[in-house]
Amino acid sequence: MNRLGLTDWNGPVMRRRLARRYAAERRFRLLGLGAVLLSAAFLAFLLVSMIGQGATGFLRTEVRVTLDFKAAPLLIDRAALAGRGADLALANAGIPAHLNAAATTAYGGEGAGYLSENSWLDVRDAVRDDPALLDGKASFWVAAATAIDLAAKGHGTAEAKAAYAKLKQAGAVRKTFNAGFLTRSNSNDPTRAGIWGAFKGSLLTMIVTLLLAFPIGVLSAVYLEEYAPRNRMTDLIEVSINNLAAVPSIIFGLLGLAVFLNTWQLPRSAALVGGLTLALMTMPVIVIAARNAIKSVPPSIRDAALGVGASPVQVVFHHVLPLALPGILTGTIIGMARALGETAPLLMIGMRAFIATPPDGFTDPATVLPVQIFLWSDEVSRGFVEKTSAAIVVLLAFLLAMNGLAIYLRNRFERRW
Amino acid sequence: MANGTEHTIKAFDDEIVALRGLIAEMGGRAEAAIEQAMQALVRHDLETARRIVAEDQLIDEIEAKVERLAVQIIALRAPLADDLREVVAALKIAGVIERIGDYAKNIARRTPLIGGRHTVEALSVLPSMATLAVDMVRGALDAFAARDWQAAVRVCDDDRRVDDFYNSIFRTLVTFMMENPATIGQAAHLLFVAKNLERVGDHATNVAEMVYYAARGTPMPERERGGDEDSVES
Amino acid sequence: MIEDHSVKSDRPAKMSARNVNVFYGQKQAISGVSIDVDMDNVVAFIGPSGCGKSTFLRTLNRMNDTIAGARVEGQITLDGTDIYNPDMDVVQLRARVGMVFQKPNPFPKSIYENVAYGPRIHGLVDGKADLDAVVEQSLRRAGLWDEVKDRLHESGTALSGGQQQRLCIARAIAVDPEVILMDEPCSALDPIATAKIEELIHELRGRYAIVIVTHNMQQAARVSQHTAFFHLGQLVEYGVTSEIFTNPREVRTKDYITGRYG
Repeated sequence: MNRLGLTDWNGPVMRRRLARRYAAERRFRLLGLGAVLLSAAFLAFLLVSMIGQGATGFLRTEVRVTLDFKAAPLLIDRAALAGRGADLALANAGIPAHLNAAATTAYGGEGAGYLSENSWLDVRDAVRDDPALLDGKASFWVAAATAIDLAAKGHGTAEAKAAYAKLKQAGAVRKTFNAGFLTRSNSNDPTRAGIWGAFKGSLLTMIVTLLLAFPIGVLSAVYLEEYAPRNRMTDLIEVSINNLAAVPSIIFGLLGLAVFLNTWQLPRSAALVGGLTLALMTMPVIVIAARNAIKSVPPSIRDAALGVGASPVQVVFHHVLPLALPGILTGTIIGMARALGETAPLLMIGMRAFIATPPDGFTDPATVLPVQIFLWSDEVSRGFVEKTSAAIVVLLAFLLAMNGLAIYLRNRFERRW
Repeated sequence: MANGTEHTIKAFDDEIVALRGLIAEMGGRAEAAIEQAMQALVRHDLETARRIVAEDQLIDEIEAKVERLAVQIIALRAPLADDLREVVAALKIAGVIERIGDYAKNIARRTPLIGGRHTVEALSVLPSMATLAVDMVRGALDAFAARDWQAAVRVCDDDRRVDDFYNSIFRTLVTFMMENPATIGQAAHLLFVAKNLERVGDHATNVAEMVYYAARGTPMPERERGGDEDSVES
Repeated sequence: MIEDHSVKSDRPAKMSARNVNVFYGQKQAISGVSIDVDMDNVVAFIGPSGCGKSTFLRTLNRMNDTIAGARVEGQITLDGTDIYNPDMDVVQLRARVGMVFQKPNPFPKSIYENVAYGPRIHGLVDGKADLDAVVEQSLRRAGLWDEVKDRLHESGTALSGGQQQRLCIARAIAVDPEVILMDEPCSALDPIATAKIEELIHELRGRYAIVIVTHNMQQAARVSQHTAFFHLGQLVEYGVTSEIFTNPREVRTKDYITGRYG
C-alpha cells in the first residue's frame, strides 16, 4: 500500500530506464533526420535530372549557310516586304530551295540534310527584319536538323556525330540560347517548338481560377465561420466541402465537360472553361484553408471589436479577415499551385488540342503547361525529349515563383504587427 | 470552531485558534492576578504581592505576542467580515487585559502600605467586589471564546453591581476617614484599590462590547449604565 | 460605526435590471437578478467561478447575443429604455455600454488606430484634427497619454500588459460611453499595473457608471462603493461595499469572503 516515498531515483533500475529512454529519443531523432535526408535526396535527384536533361532544351544548334542573293536572287517583290503580307510573300519566294542548294554546295551531298526542315523560317525572319540582305551575299545561322542538334548535345547516331564533327571543323556550327523556346508555341518540329503558348494558356487559366475561386471560397468561409448557424444544414455543407477537396481531379474534368461544354455550350479548349473547372477543384481547398485561418483569429479580437460597437460586417472586414489573410493566402496559393500542375481535368475539356498560336483571350483555344508536357512526352521525335524536360523546368520555375509570392505576401502581412 | 465551517486555508484556522489561545491565557493570568492580589492584600502576604508585581511582565509579553500575531494575520491572511472583526477585537482586548493586569499590579503594590492590622472595615467587602469584577472579566473572555453575544450582554449588566459596590465602599471609607483621621492614609489606599476594581469592571464591559461587535457586526445597543459617571459624583 | 464611502446618488439609476433570468439552452445561468447601477458608485460583482457574475455583466451590453442558445428574460434598462427591446440597436448599445475584457485585447494595430477605431466607425469625429483630439483626450483619461504620446504609431500589442489594458480602457472611452463594464480587468496584471488600473477606475467614477467583475475581494473592496455577491446564478447580497466586507448579512456572503466557501 505504502508505495509512495520509496522510489530510488538513483538506483540501477532507474539508471537503466534512463539509458533506454535516451536511446529511444536518439533513435527517433535519427529516424526523423533520415526521413528528411531521404526526401531531400529524392528532390535533389528530381531537380538534377530535370535540369540536366532540360538545360539542353534551352539551347539550339545552328548551321551557317551563306546565300548569294546576287547570284541567285529571290523571286520577290520588294514592296511586299514592307507590308503585312511580308511573311506570305517570303513563303512563296522559294527560300527552302535556295537554302538546300547553298547547303549542298557548302557541305556536300548530305548538306541539305544538316538543316532543319523549317530552317528556312530563320532566313525568312532575318530577311523580313532586314530586306537589305537581299542585295548581296549573306551568312545565316539556321536551325540544324534534329539529328545534328542531338549530336551536338552528345546524343544521336554515329553518322550524325561524324557530320557534326565535320561541320564543327569547318566552323559552320554553333550552339546558342534557344530564345524561340520561350517565345513560340507548339510545333511539330522540335527545333521550332516553344512553350509560350502553353505558358500563356496556364496564366489565363490561373487568372480565371483565381478570380472565381478566391472570392467565392473566402466569402463561403467567412459565412460558414461567422454567420451560419450551427445546424444539420451547415454540418452537411461542411462535410461536403471536405469531401469535395478529396474528390479525384478527373471527376471535376467530367463535370466541366458535362456542365460547361455540353450544357452551357462554352467554347472547347478555352482557358475560360479550364479556369472554371480548376476553380471548382480549388475552391474547397481555399474554403478549408480560409476557415482554419479565420478560426485561428483569437476570439478576444472579435470581443474587442464588438465591445466598441463594431457591426458584424465591420468585425469581419476590419479585424478578422486582415488577421486571417496570411493563412488564407497561403492556402490559396497552395490550391492554385495544385491547379497549375493539374492535367487530367483539362484533358477532359479538350485542352489537349495541338495549338500552334498563343491564345489571345480567355475564349481562344489554349493549352496549359502540364498538358503541353504530357503531349510532348508522347511525341515520337527524339528532339522532344529535351523539350519535355525543359518545359518541366519552366513549370517548376512557375510553381516556385508562385510559392515565393505566397511566402512574400504572408511575411508582408504578418509583419504588419 | 465557533461558527461551524472551517476556512479553506487550514493555517488560517490554526492562527485564529492560536490568537484565541493567547487571549484566553492572558485573560486567565489577569484574572488570577486580581484574585491573588486581593488575597495578598487581605492576608497582608507581601511575598505573593511581590510575585504578582513581577508576573505582570508575563502579561505584557503575551500582549506583545497577540499584537504580533494579529498584525501577521491581517498582513498575510487579509481577513474579512467576522474574521476581521475578531482579529481587531483580539488586538483591542489584549490591550484591555494588559490594563487589567496593571490594576492587579497596582493593588499588589499597595499591600505593604496598608499594613497588617485590619482596622478598616471596608476591607471585608473588597474581596467580594474583586470576585465580582473577576467574574465579569471571565464572562467577557468566555463570551469571546464562544462568540456568544448574549453572554457579552449579561457581562455588561453586571457592571452596575460593581459600580454599586464601589459607591458603597466609597461612602464607607469617607465616613471612616472622617471618624478616624489617623487612618486616612490607609483608607485612601483602599479607596484606590476599590477604584481599580471598579475600572476592571469597566474594562470587562469594554471587552464584552468588543465581543458583541465581533460576533454581530453591530455595536452593542446603548444601555443605561449605573457606575461610570456617578462614581465621581461625590 | 462603518464608514460608508458610497454616495447617495441624486441622479436616477443609469442601468437597472429587474428580475433577470439568463438561460444557455436548457441551463439557467442567472435567476431573478435585480440591481441598479448609478453614475456615482462603482459596482463590483464578486462570487466564485461559474456563479454567473460575468454572464450577468455581459447581458448588460448584450455581448451574450453572440453566444448561440443564450436567452435573456426580465428587464434591463439603460436610461429607462429596455435594451432587449427590438428597437434598441445592439451596435449602438455596445458603444454606449463599453466593455473591458479579462485579457488585454488591443487590436493588432497602432496605439492611435486602436483608440481611433471606435470614433471612426461611429462617425463621431469630423476630420483628422478632431480625431486627434479624441484620441488624446481618451488616452489622457485612461492615464496613458504621457507614456505613449511619442509612439502613437507603434503597435498597441507592443505595450506592457497594464498599458495594454489602459489602452483598452481608452478605446472604450473614445466612443463616449455612459457605462463601462470591466470583466476581471486586472486578472492578468502585476500588482503595480493593477494599482494603476484601480486608481484609474477611481478617477473615472462619476463620469461613467462602472461595473467591475473581480475575483479579488481586496480589489472589490478597494475600487467599489457597492458590491454584489453572486452565487449559483443568484444575487445573494447587494449592498454598500464597506458593509459587505465587514458585516455581510448573508451567511453565504460571509463564508465566501472569509474563505470558508466550499
